[in-house]
Amino acid sequence: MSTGAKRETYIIGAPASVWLVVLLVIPCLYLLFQSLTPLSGAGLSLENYENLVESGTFRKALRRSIIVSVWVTALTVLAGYPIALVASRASSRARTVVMVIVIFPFLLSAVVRAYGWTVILGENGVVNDFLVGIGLIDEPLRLIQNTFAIVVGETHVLLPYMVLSLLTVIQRIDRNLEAAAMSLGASPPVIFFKVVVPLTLPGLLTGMLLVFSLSMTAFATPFLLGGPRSPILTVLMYQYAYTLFDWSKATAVAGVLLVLGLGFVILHRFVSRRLMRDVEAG
Amino acid sequence: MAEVKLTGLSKYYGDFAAASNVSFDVESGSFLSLLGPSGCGKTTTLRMIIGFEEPTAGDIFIDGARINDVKPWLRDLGVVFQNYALFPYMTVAENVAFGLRRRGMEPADIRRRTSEFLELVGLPGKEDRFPRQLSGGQQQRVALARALVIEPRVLLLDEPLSNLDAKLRAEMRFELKRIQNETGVTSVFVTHDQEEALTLSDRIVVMNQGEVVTVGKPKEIWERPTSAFVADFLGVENIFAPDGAEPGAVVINGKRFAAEHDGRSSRLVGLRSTDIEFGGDGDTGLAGRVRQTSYRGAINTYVVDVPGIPRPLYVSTAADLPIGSDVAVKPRDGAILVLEPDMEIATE
Repeated sequence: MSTGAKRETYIIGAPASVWLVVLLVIPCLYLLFQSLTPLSGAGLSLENYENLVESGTFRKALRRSIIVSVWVTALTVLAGYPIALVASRASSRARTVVMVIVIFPFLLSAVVRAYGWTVILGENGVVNDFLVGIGLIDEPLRLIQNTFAIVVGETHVLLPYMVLSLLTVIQRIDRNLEAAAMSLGASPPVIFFKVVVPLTLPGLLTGMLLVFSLSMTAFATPFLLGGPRSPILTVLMYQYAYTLFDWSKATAVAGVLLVLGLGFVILHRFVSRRLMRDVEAG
Repeated sequence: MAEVKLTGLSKYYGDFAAASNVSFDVESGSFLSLLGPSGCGKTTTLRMIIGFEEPTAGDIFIDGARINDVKPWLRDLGVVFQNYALFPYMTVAENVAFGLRRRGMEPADIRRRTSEFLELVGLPGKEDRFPRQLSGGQQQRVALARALVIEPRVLLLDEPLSNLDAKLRAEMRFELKRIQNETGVTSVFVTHDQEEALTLSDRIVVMNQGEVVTVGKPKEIWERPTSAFVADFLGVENIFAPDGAEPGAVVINGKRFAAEHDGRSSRLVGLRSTDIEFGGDGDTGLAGRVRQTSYRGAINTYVVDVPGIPRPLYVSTAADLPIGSDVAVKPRDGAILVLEPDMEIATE
C-alpha cells in the first residue's frame, strides 16, 4: 500500500476510532481503575478482587458462567452444522425458510423469548404436562429458574451467530473436494469429518468465539430464565450494583469479565493461527 | 482393470434431457474419450458412472455387474477433476494416502505405495509439500497419483488438462498417455478438445445435446466423420449442400467430383481447408476470387468466394497470393466427406 493510500485509510478510519476510544476504551479503563480502588479510597490495590475471590457466591457464579458458555457453545456447534449444511445445500426457497426460522429469535425481545421458554419449561408448562400426562414422572420437573434454563435460552438466542458463521464458509467449499473424497472411499460421515470440518474451521472458530463471548456477557436471558438463586457473573454484577449497591465488588466482577473476554479473544487468535495456517493459505 | 458398459443411460431434469439414451462399451484396459461441446452431456454421463448423479433410466455395468445401486464410495473408481480438487490442508503424501487410509492399509505400506505412485507420476520426493506450493501441472499429477494409488477399476477424468496452459497441456497429454499405458487402467476421459481426444484415445464417443452422435477410433472419426456436427466439431471448415448427388459422386457448380455418396439428396459435403488446393482449369476446378488471407507462416489460409456455393471456402496452402486474385480451387482426390445433415449450416 502506498503511503498516500495509507494516509487515506487513517482519515477514513478516524471518526470511528475516536468514537470507539471515547465510548469504549476510556470507560473500560475507568472501570478497571474503579475496580482497583479500595473502599477506603486510598491508592490502588487488589483488595476488591481479593474480597471477590473469597466469596463463595462469586466462585459459584464464575463456575456457572463458564459451564453455561461451554454448553451453549457445544450445543450451537452441534445444531449449527446440520442447519448450515441443509441451508447451503437446499434449493433457494428452502434456504429462505430455514434462514427465517433461524434468524427469527433475533426479531423478538428477550422478555418475549424468556416468556416463551417459561410457557414450555415451567412447572405447568408444555414439557411437564406432557411427561406427567404419559405417566413418565409423578411430580413436575424443575426445568426453569436454573442453569439448564439458561443454557436452553442462550442456545436459542445464539444459534444464529453459529449458523451464519458456518454458512459463510460452507458455501465456499469446492464441492469437487467432497466428490473426490467420496470417489476415494469416504462415506458421508467420513467426508464431514475429514473434508467439511477442516475446510470450515475458520468459520467454526469465529462462531465459537462469538457464541462463547456473547454467552459469557449475556444478561437479559440468564436474568429472566435463571432467576436470582442461580446467578451467572453478569447477573451477580447486577445484584452487587443495584441490589446491594456494592459498586466496588460490581466493578471487580466487570473487571473479571473483561479479562476473561480478552483472554478468550487472544486464545482464539492463537488457536486459529495455528489451525488455519494451511487451510487459509491453501 | 475392468470393462464398462452403459446401456440406455439417461438423465432428465424435468423435461430437459442432460443425457439421453447413452450407450457404449469401454474395453478392459482401453482409453475412451467422451468428446463434445459444453452442455453435450459428457460430464453428466461421467458423473452418473461415478455415482454423483442418479440416472433417470438406463444401466451402468462394470465387469458385467450392474452398479446403479452401489454407493459412490464403494465403487472403486479413480476420479481426476479439472480443478485438481486436492485437499488444501493436507500434504501431497496425505492427499495421495487418503484413499489408502479409507481402506485401512498399514502405515508402512501406505508410505511405500504413496512414494511409488508419486514416482510414477514424475513427482518423487514431493511428499511433504502442500498443494499450493506446486504448479498446476504438478497438482494435476498429484491428483492423478491419488486416483491411481487405490488401483481403481476404472479411471475417470473430467477435463483434467483444461486448466493448464498450452505448453503444459501438451506435456501432460503425453504423460497421461504414458501413465495409462504403464498402469493399463481402463480410462474414461471427458474433453471438449478434439486434439486431446484424438491423441489419447483408443476410441472416441462424440456427444451432442445429450446424445451419442458417433463412436469410433480416432482415425475413423478424423478421416471419415459421418455427420455434419462431427465434421464441424473436428474442425472441418467447409460444410455445404452440393447442387446434386448420385451414387459415387457429388455435383458442385455443375462439375462432378468423386465421393462415397449413396445418392440421397439430403446429405451435405465437407472439405478440410487443407484438402483443397489452388489449380485446375475451368474444367476440373471451381472458379473463385480470394476475399481474404491470413498469413500463418508455413501454411496460409485463404477465404475464397466461389459463385454458386453459399459460403466462402477456406483453403489452406503454402501458396502466396494477394487479395482479389482470381483462382480455381479443386478438392484433392477422395477428400470430399459425405455427411449426415444433423446440424444447421450457416449461410452468409
